[in-house]
Amino acid sequence: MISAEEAKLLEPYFAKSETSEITMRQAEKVSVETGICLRKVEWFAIRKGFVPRRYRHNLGTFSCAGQLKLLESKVVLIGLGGLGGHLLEQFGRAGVGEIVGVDADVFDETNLNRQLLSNEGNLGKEKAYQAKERLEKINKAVKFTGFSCCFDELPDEVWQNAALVFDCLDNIADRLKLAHKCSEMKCPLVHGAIAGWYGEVGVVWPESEMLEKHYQGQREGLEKELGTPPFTAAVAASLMAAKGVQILTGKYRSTQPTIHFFDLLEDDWENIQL
Amino acid sequence: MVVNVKLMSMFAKYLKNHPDGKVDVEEDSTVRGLAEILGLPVKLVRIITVNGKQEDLNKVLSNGDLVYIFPPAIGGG
Repeated sequence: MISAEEAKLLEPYFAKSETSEITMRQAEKVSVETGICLRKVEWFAIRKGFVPRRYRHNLGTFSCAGQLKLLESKVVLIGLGGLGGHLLEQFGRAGVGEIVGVDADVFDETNLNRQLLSNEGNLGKEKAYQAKERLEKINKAVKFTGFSCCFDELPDEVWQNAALVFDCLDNIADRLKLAHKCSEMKCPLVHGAIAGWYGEVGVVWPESEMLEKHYQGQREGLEKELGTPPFTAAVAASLMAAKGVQILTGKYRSTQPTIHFFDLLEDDWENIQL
Repeated sequence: MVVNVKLMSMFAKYLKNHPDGKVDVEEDSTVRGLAEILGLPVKLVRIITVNGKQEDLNKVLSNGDLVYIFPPAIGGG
């Protein structure tokens, strides 16, 4: 994560002290004085036993080792709408070190019911650039790159070193294309989809062909008929974020390809092994 | 015999005459037979589980089985 030279520069700031926390402003000061990016400063601070205060309420859940893993990780969000907007927000706050956000669209009035990154003032603006603005307000330590294009137009280097890809798309054909791409790259994909009160989330391991089995040749979803309300998007995205953090921090336990279904109207949750 | 049925999402309405989810079926009925009793459009059925295991429409049911039937796929984000 950091070079020996960078460690040498940072070391004097993290000598033994009574305090075991570092504030956002202190971390920023170290970053400015050393010229080392905030993400690396936070990472080094945790290694030295100084918890960035902004992550205090993460650590009981993730542990220091888990928080370090998150800061080291790169994730790619394909789609920055109903699912991708919530994922960006949660990963930014969780402290995932590098996020790539991809969406070819601009915000539209019909997005306002569920898409966290949209607001009355940014209609007509590119989702990828709005995502960058939002993240800069939440956590400057996170490196974010936005691409206002389709995922199959991305330069190859975008995919390099990605620990996880998130399928936040809105149609089955593109989801299958992305699953195929991730399988080729041997990168796990976290899938989520919603319609009405109903949603599904699953981890697609490379070569499992889980989405192909799941969709069984179907190419049209139910969402046009059933709608995409705000709470279903938030629940599905939160489940995707939890699965992502489990994988990134080594806590993911399921060995079988599984899709998690939920029905918020019937209060029903079911896991199906495919 | 009686089986316990859960219908997800848009299929839930086909259980309105069975609010406790319990449905009477003939001995040796299949999931297809159960779907017909409920008036469920069989061509829309995608995933079926019986007692947590994935099955198909031809699965023969036993008394007390727990049957989940899932509607077509979703793609929205």
